[in-house]
Amino acid sequence: MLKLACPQHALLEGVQIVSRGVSGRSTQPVQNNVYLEGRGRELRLVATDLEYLSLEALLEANVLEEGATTVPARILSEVASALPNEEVALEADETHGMNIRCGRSRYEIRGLSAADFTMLPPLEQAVRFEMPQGQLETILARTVFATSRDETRPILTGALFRIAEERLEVVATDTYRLALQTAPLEGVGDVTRSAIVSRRALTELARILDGDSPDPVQVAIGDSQVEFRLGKVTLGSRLIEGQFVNYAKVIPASYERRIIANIKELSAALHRALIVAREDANRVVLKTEGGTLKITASSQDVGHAEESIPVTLEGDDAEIAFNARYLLDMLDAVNTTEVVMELSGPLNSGAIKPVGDDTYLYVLMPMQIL
Amino acid sequence: MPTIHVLPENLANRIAAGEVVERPASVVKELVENAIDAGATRVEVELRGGGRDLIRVTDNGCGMTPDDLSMAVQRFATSKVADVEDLERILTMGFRGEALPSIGAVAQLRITTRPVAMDEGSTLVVEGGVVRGPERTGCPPGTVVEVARLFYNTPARLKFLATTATERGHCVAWVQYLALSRPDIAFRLVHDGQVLFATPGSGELAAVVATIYGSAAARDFIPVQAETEAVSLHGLISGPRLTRATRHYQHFFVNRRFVRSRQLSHALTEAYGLLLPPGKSPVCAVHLTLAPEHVDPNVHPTKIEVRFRHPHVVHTVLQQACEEALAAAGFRALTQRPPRTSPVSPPAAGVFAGPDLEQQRRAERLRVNPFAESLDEREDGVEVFAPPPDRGTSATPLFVAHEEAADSPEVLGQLANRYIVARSGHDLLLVDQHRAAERVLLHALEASAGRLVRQLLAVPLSLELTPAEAAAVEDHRQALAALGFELEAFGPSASLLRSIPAALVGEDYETAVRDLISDLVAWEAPSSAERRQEQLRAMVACHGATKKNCALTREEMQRLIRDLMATDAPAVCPHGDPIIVSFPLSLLDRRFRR
Repeated sequence: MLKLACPQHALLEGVQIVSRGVSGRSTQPVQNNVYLEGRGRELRLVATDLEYLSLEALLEANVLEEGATTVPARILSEVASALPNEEVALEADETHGMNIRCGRSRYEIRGLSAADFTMLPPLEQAVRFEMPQGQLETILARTVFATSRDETRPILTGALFRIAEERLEVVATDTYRLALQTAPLEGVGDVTRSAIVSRRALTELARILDGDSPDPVQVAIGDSQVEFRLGKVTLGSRLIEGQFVNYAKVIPASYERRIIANIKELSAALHRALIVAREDANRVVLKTEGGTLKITASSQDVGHAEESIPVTLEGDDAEIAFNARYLLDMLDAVNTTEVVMELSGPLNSGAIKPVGDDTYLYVLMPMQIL
Repeated sequence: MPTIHVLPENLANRIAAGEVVERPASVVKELVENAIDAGATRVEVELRGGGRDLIRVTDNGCGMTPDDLSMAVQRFATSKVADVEDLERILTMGFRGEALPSIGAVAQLRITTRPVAMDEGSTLVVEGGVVRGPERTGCPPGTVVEVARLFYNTPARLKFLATTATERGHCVAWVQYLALSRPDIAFRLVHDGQVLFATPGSGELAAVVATIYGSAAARDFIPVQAETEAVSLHGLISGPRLTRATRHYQHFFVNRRFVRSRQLSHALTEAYGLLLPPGKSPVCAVHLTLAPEHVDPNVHPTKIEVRFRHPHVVHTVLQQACEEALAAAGFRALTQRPPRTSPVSPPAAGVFAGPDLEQQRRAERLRVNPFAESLDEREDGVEVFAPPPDRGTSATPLFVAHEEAADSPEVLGQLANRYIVARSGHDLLLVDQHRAAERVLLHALEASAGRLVRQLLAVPLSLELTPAEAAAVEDHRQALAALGFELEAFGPSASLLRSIPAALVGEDYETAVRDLISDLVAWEAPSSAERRQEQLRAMVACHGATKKNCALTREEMQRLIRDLMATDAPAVCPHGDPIIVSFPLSLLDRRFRR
């Protein structure tokens, strides 16, 4: 029977991380529990919705008797956070109950058999690589927002991770726009692999990534599963099955004009124009007059907005309408000073890139008045 | 003084033809059924101009002798029903025996036929009801029936035919029904030289389904089977993911005859229970076999309806079989819809009379819903919500927006994922969220008259369509484009959706556009362009409003209410049903007996 002791703050941290893996909607009650296992000198905590999220944390513990049990995630999390910061003693009994003792507090929580708890199968054949946590954080910040919220097309609710030619491409699209970030990969060799990772897993991953951490994140992409390991925490997820859209077709091959703008100025102008534009499907018209970019929005109910900012224009004057929110999503995600918009006609897609960073591309389709 | 005289026979035929021959598709149906009856294993249908210019049905069946051929074009001459007892045991399809003469009355009909056992065939022509032939001719065994210039002598009917694409769609639909009814026969349908549809004739229903829905979708079908004393059935039903907005894709065959039946559709739908998204219908191809005396198919001249002698038995067997099939495929049947409130059973005669009976019913309604009385009678208080009549008509636009925001009801919560509970002043409001979303969407599509905004898609959506759907898209391409749906033909049975109305951005537009297209197939478009566009907008609004039965956040609800109040008719949905029902404080006080 499981019997161990560990500091309250360590337990709390571990429980808080993994309990986000519980979906709360599982039809099997045991999957709403956290799995606790004492082995060697470690306490292993696991929670999973068995689908798009599995979270596992290892923490140092004084294991007196090896064993495992499961207890409801919510209760464990509440109890752990309410206890004083002292040594916590955990002890499972035969009826799957768990005794928690800490200071002058004593709890007995009803649990369920660890034998009934299901985990994602271990990852076997996988392409493995590692990268700084901060780099993956940036990749996710620039792509995940462009995944689709429409659950009826599951493929688009995730981001594609594609490894080819010693490069990682991460692509997301909700069919209105597409975000593509590339990063060089060293040491993976000549492998090609594609995997669609759910937004749920990536959002959770972004939450636990620590850009300042010196430890890299280890990524393993298998045939049907993916795993991200950050020190003592591992996030696993089943991949979304299916063929991702042919995104190469979406990327414009050429352009006729380029507009270079300061991101802060453009972003502020768009935010203001949105007050009117949001009443008109977020539509803003971008129109250049030489070195000036005019941003206008109008709504029958509200009125009219006009903003102008200085830009550098290459080629003829341009006029095109975009969804201001989609444009702002991109501007918010990049950290350069300037952005370049490569445009052709008013009905052609625009390619938008941060100036001085050719690893990122954002393709946005225009809007049109009929 | 007018004299009464007997109508000449060819005129009588022409009138009777109207019952059987409505459009090219009805000719196709009759001819193919004849081919099936002739024991054909291969049937080819060739059409030109949607069947208006030419319909040619070629079969390898038993063929006819010259005598049979002459008889075949006589009205009510049929080899199939010799006497009244025979009617009891109708198993063949074209039993009414009026098809060929009727067709001959309104088109140029040529039949060329040869029984396998004879060395020589015969041919016969009927034009405007006048028979020429039969003459001897050389031809392969089987029968070829050619129908040219349909309705050439009935201009009124000709005028009412729809576009080529639509007529073609109807023909395709019928050949598909017949192919589904007989998977053992190889069908081929050619239109203007293009093969639209071909089945292998392997005897497997799944193979036919695959040719209609594409092999990918066909994998979503689940086999269903049942064997009872009264009825045996087998077929395929769609998994809950493959659904359509209408029942048009439910193919039931009773003793191999295609039928439409509310009872069968109902049994099927009940089996899915909550597995089915609201407003969606499953797709199926199910064969039922009953003793002929338990079915009366002779209800309607086109024989599409059917009457069962024991409808509830058939209903139960079908529903149970489908439930079991779904459960076996891993779809739990435990998600039953809550039982409907059973209607109040009328009390025994004599116990209550007149007003008492009415009172008792009213009492029953009140028990179920304390507001029902006033709701029904609209006598006091509970009312369809009416916004202030002169909502800022004279104010400047900017001012109106402000005023509305202040007036906008405050959201209190959500009920059953269906109603938004809100407060306006001292009134309690219940808002039907789906109807509200539909109204808002319709407003967005309408209000922007002349400046409808569309969003182009970075990733176009490819839609696999049935031939009938492809035809409908072709017919209405421009009207759809005017609403923001740019559909580009992509091969004979697919379309690429390149843009959507901006009002649908972020919604499940794939389902919306699929449902819209399947509605278009049966849509009788009005001739006025304005009315047409109006109806189309309403259809888009209905299918695009995806907020049916789903949980909404408070912000979403508040926004929906705000947008609803900004429309010109927030209280009533396009179908005339209430969107908002209001319970004034005075009514609540009364209910609490204050």
